[in-house]
Amino acid sequence: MMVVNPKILEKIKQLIGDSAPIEVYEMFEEILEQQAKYDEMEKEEDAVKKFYAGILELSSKNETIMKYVRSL
Amino acid sequence: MTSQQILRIKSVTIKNFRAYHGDSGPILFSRDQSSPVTIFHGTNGLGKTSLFNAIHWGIYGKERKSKDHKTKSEGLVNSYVIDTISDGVDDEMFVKIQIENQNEDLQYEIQRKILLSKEGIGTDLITSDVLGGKVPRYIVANNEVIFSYKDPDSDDGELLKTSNPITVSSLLKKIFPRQLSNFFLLDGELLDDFMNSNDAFVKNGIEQISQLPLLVNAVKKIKFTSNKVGTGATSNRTNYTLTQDKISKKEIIRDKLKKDLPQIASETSELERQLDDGIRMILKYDADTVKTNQEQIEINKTTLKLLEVNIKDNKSKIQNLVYQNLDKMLMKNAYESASIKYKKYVEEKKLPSKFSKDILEQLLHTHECVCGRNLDEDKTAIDKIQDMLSVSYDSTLGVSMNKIVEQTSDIVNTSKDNLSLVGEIKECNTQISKYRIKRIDVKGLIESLEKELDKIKDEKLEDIRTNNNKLKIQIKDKSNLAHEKTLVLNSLNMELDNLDREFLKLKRLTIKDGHAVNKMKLAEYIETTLNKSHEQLRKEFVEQVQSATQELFMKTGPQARVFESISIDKNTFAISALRAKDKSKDISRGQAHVLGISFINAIRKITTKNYFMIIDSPFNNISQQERIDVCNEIPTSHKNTQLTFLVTDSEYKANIEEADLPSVRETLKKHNIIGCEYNLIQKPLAKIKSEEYFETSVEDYN
Repeated sequence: MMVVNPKILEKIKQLIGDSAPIEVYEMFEEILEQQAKYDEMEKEEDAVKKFYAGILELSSKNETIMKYVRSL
Repeated sequence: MTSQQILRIKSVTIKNFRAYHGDSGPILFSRDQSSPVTIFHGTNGLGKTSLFNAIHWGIYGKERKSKDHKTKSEGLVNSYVIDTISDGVDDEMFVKIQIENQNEDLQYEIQRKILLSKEGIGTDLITSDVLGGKVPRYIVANNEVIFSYKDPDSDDGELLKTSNPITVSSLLKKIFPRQLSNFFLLDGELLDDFMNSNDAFVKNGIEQISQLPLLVNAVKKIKFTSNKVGTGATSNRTNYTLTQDKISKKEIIRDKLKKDLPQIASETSELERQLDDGIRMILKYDADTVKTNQEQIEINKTTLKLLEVNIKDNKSKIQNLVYQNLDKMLMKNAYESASIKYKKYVEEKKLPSKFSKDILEQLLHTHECVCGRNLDEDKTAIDKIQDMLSVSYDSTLGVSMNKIVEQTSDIVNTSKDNLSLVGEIKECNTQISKYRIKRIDVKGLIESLEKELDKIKDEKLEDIRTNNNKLKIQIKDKSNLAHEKTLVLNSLNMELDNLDREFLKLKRLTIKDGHAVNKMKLAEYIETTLNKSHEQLRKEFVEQVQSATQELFMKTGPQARVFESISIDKNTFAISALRAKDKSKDISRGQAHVLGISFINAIRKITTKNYFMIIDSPFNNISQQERIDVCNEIPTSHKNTQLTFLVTDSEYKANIEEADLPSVRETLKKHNIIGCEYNLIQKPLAKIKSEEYFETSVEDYN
């Protein structure tokens, strides 16, 4: 598993706030982990594009996440 | 995974790299968290820097640039291997580095190799890029690299392997960015480079090591995906696409400018370095220096003459001793036996103790020679003796006979024995050897002084001055270019801000599809959060590094109390120590050295990976007390970091001048943090004609 600087993850946690559902934090964690993997290791550009399209597609359909985003 | 990944060197294997001949076998590094220090100890010139460079070359494919930027004529491969390579027998040089993580799993293995063979007969020396030096034309060298790494998609111990040089280079650049080498492969001599740095090298390194670009890259990807969503969902596709294209184009220009600026800064910095060298040359070779050089040459030539005279004198002395004593030495036995015989004859009254006229006449009448021969049968001899006696008894024969007796006696009594004569000759030879050694030194000195003078002639000061002027113009041009590009960048940033606002408005007005709107809203939220994180973290990182640097520097820095704080430039990340008083006074080299160590240590607090740290000459510029202070802080300040020190005698062992203080070794031992301790030993390898070859080996410290 690729390592994301814990300070970055802490900062994300701090910015989204304690009231944010865990799904929001997990979404960020997933994005950063995949990006770290892409940054460090050779990954196909297509795979990365697919990942971002996929996470946006799934997360935008997640009512918990969207409810939180809309509430901001 | 939220913890910091620890990277430790498990082992390094070297074959035929510079001073190292043959396969070293795996040299193990300490991976014990409680005793994380590995020591390589050796006197200067024994291969400490070669070992350091072997690791650097293994990772980056090139050696660490030295402070004086000297180009080494010797190549990377051991000279004995180059000089003795045979037809049809291939050889190789390689460096293999195994790196493991905190779970003691092998994370990376890098094996970089140069394959060698002999082809053709051309013996003239040519510069080989692969071998990094001059080698005979018949040497053919090829690079090879194999990189194995843990599969990021798998949690088992399986390693993926690649030997495609482009892929390997790209992977290694990402794992060990070139800028990061400053943070884990350190040259003690270069620690003060972190101060007042005016290029973007340090800044980029710190940003990369702290993984800040990760946030920026994620923003770019989210933005791209979101825009794509918009293209398919907008009711005003033309305007949407046009604005989007406009933004993309401007972003490309901005990214290029962002890339160009550090490059220009780095080029400017290189030009400034060259100018510094040029100025130093001018200062070094001014008229006074030339005069001093010439005077020195004259003084040394006089000394040389004196030495020649001394050698000649001693040689003459030996000659005299030999010539003066050779006959006595060789005749000593004969003289001794003659003397004994004479004394015996005197006792037996066969010969007189004094030769007078009467006695000689009596002897003649006995008709017997002193040697016992009967003279009766030799009338000529009797007549001759009688003639001589009649001419002058006392003044000639008698006196001569007495003289012979006396001289024989003298020689027997006073001649030196063999031992004392040999001793005197030996002493003269010792003197000659001493003078000869001194003569070699003086000749060498004269040669180097003359070379310096020749260099001044060759390099022509005027040319240096002209080049310096050219450099000044180039620096000015670069500065202007950087200024212009910065202005363009600033205006582009403003334009992009406006365009982004326009684009956002357009999105809101033209995208009505609910799901698409959700996606874009979410993307917008992600973008904003990541951007904010980047902005805040950057600021916090600078503050954290600043405070951690200050904390360690104030504890261990030489006379640190004269400084009130440490400051880090938020744009360049260059570090400086601020004095309480005498603000214009420069920081000393020792202070800069400890500041560098403190800075690097502080940077580790914000990094994703806790990289191993190898320092060549870590205690080079600092006093014994400061060395001890730094060592005392290691258990707390470098927690979890694998430390490797390449140290000289004077750095590591007890300091004679400050014998009341413990040595670095004693201090590290006291804290029980030395895990592996090695000595670098140089041994003769071979002698071919007049060329002597040596090899360095790594042996356990004793």
